[in-house]
Amino acid sequence: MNGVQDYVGWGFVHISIGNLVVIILMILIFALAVLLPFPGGQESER
Amino acid sequence: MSMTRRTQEALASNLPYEELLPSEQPAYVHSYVYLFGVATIAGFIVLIATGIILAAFGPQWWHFSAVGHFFNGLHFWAVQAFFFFMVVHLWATFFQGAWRDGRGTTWAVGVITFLVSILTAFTGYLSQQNFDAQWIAVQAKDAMNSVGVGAFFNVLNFGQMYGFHIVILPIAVAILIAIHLTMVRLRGVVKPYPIDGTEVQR
Repeated sequence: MNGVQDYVGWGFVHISIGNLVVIILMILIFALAVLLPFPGGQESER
Repeated sequence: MSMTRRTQEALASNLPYEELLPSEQPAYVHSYVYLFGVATIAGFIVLIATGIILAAFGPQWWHFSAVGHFFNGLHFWAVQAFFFFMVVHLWATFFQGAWRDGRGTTWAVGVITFLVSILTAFTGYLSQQNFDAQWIAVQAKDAMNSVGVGAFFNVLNFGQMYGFHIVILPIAVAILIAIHLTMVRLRGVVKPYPIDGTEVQR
């Protein structure tokens, strides 16, 4: 905030480092949530 | 039958207590991917709590005192978490096809909540009381005027934007989240797609 952002670009794609980091983190967290086993025993189905 | 009696019976049949506070979930909910919705709500609770403190002490405090900086930072990072988890929740529900089996309205309310949250964040950036807020307001006024809402949604009017940010829009988001959650509780979590992909859309 209140400062000049660093940007990266490939062709027509132009994105700030901050936004790029957030998007990569979201994809990473989503992938981990899908792949990692949830701890504890399974609850019975209703 | 009296109006209160009718209301009581309608609530009892449409909002049964055991559906609102279930102690068990279906087996397929046993995954981290189902936690992003509640993580979003956790972010919203931190936003409301820190927002109340910021509103109570005011811009001088959040700009020029150490504790004010801390709560300003908490509010800022809570909104990052709020949108971060809301977007991942959106991905999760999209890939689950969470609008299936009569859950279309739940999906639509979620979309509206997302859009109103963006407007809330926008008015928040306008309420910072710094040069960044002024820059955003001066840029945004052209966008607002180009779609014809500038006359009654004046982004250069700090009082109006602050009022939207701390009263009107947070109440709207809270009501939308309440409706969204109630719908999720009443219909339950959508069943996963079958592995062979034979299910017909209903």
